[in-house]
Amino acid sequence: MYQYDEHDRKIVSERAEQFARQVERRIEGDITELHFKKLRLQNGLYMQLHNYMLRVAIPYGLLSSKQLRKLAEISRKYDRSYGHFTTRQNIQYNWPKLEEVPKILRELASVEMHAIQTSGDCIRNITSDHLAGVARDELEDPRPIAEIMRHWSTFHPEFAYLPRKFKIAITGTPDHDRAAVRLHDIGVRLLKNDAGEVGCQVLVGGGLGRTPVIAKVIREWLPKEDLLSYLEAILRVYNMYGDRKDKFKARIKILVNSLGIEEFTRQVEDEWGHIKEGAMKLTQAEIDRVTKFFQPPPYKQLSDSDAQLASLRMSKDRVFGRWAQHNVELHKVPGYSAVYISLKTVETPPGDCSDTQMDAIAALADDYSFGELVVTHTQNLVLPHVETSRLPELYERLAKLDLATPNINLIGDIICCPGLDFCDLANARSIPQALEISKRFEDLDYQHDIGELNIKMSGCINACGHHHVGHIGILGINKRGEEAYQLALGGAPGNDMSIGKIVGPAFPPEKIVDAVETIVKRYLEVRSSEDERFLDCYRRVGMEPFKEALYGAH
Amino acid sequence: MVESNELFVVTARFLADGAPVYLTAAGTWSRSLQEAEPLALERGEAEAKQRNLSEQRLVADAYTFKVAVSGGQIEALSARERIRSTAPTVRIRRPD
Amino acid sequence: MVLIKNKQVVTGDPWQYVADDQPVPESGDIVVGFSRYDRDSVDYTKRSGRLGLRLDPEDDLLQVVTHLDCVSLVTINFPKFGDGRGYTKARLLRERFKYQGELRAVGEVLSDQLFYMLRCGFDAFELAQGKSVAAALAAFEDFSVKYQAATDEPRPLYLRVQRGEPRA
Repeated sequence: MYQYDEHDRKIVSERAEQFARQVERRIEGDITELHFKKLRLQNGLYMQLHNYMLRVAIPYGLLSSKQLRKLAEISRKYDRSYGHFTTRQNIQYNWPKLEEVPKILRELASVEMHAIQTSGDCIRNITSDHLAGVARDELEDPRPIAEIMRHWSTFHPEFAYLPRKFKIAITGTPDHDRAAVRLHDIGVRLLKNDAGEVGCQVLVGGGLGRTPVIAKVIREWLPKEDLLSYLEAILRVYNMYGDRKDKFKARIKILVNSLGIEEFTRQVEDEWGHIKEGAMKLTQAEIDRVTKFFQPPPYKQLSDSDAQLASLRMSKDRVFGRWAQHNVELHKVPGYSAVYISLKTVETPPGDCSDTQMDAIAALADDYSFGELVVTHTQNLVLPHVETSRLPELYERLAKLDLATPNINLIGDIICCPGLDFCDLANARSIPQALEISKRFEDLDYQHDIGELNIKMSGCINACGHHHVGHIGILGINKRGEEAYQLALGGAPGNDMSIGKIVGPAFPPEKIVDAVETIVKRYLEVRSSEDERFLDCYRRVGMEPFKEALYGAH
Repeated sequence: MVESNELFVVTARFLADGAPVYLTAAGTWSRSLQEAEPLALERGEAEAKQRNLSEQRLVADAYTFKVAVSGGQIEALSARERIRSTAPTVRIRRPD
Repeated sequence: MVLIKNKQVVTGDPWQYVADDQPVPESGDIVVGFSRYDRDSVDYTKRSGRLGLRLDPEDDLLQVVTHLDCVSLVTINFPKFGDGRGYTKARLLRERFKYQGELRAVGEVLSDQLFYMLRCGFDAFELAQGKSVAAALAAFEDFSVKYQAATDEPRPLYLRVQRGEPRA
């Protein structure tokens, strides 16, 4: 993984000191809250429902065991001994005190971490594929480009006060987008051109929220050296022409829609023409330098383990077999696997992880995965380089930590925002409902039988739980001051992206879990075979059978 | 139309930890909703505005919300303010 | 109002800001809003004293640049510090249109934005009322490292210094 040099280190530590001064001036009364709010947001510090919340950046989800131990330590010293992993591969602390945040930033800086631009109207954390570097279907590792984009966007002086937040994601697997790039303000796909060169396809104007939009291609293919100047051109057009009056119309997707993609493209290409040959042209030397940090770890020379994994999946120990099936992914290096650590149980808010678990996971990363782990945007973790022959012993250790529930991508693997229990923006609680659903489907055989079914839940229209792209999406709404839940079906986040369709009138809190169960039961009745996934079944039979099951025949 | 007998409470957040606080009859801020002073809307909004200007070093983002008072208990009339006045309704940390 | 130029407080600023509804004085160094200037039938060349233009966020830079030859000062107005259009205007004025006169940030200019403003080509700053001058002057030094190219630094970091390699 990337290692800071003295310049990177100076940036994060000078930032901690700058924020320390800003906190002091706020406490002394030299800055108003109105002014301070924008400054603290650019350091990831929110005022939430009960407390401040600090969002720490984890660039493209990649963590070292040393960093994870520090995150655990911070949770003990400054928080309530746990952290929350988010749908943008970051971690959040829910209970810091204002005066201690500069100390937290200094501690993060000591392990090459920060909270820079994790909120605010600026360029946010750049997310990517949690299987980057190890997936079999990957064309090229996107992380070097992600890291280069991170440098370019950090403290970019022209784009710190955009009309609204700006999210970028990159994938290196053209046929299987695990980074949901089409849901981002800018999405980048590494692709080969006709000459077989790997370059960048650029998409623009995707996003969820009030108006979910799938990003459109603005540039079919660019050599990597032109990527930064192209991004700069897009940001410049957005900075100049994005709506500054109406917060709800200020994302770039609205600008792209109102100009139309052709006109928007014309304006960007026009601007790009002025700058493409300038200082922003990436050199091959810099691409090569950063790529060196992402060389494969010292894998052993092992023979292919596909057969071994297949046999583990049929283990007499059914739970272990299910774990090997659902929580273990094939790896591009013979003899290795990628292992999901499921943070989802019936008792814990999705994405939460205690300090003791973090320390234990750090030790497992050291023992099994060259000291590396990745945060997924489905709020789980991945150990990316595990020898397949060591899976049984790893499973035992994970199971003791309650991190081995074999539910990855199953109905128990719910994505859920913090909701009204924590978040100032929320309309309804999300975690209690997610846990109820989890409990209703607790039986592992049942989950296994249902198969792949992604439930995504958001407590409000800001869609941090990505409910628009859940196979079953649940949205918390405010109905005359009380909580209610809208159900949608058929969303999907990958290459075959679709936005979920609302089924019908909203459900009160005491009815939503039954509604989900009704949907699942109807699916089991109408699926063409055990192998037909919920999403495929829905796409085949449509909304009617589910609507009818929920609301009765018309 | 706001009814003249509707009651409101002024709330804000402590700068130090971001915790919700409620304006009492004594003009101080309490962490407990039960110690708040129910007010008419106009007075509540005036207080909130004043506090936002003059008490920046103590609290932030003062505003008013509707309450009902019965049997000496103050009840927030929205799910949001109810949850805000107590605590998250879920377990804070994984059991270990 | 405190005026900072080239990282120092300056006094005796000769420029007079003329509000959009005020008549244009016949002499003296004046700054007028661009959209007023553009609509005006006043012949600004007939007066004595220099001309400055104030750019508001909505002003179209392409309209402005045709007038740059007769202008000695450009002020860029930040009515709200969160409206970042002025940063793009500044960079384009310097880098695209080669404007070399004084480029002054006015409006809600707070010390926390000075570092970025300097990077975008501003060389003068009218600090918002009541704000600490010491904090402002110190803010120019907030960071000793700049990753990306901008007006003040035409090359990105990796072309200016030797960047790190993987450690063993």
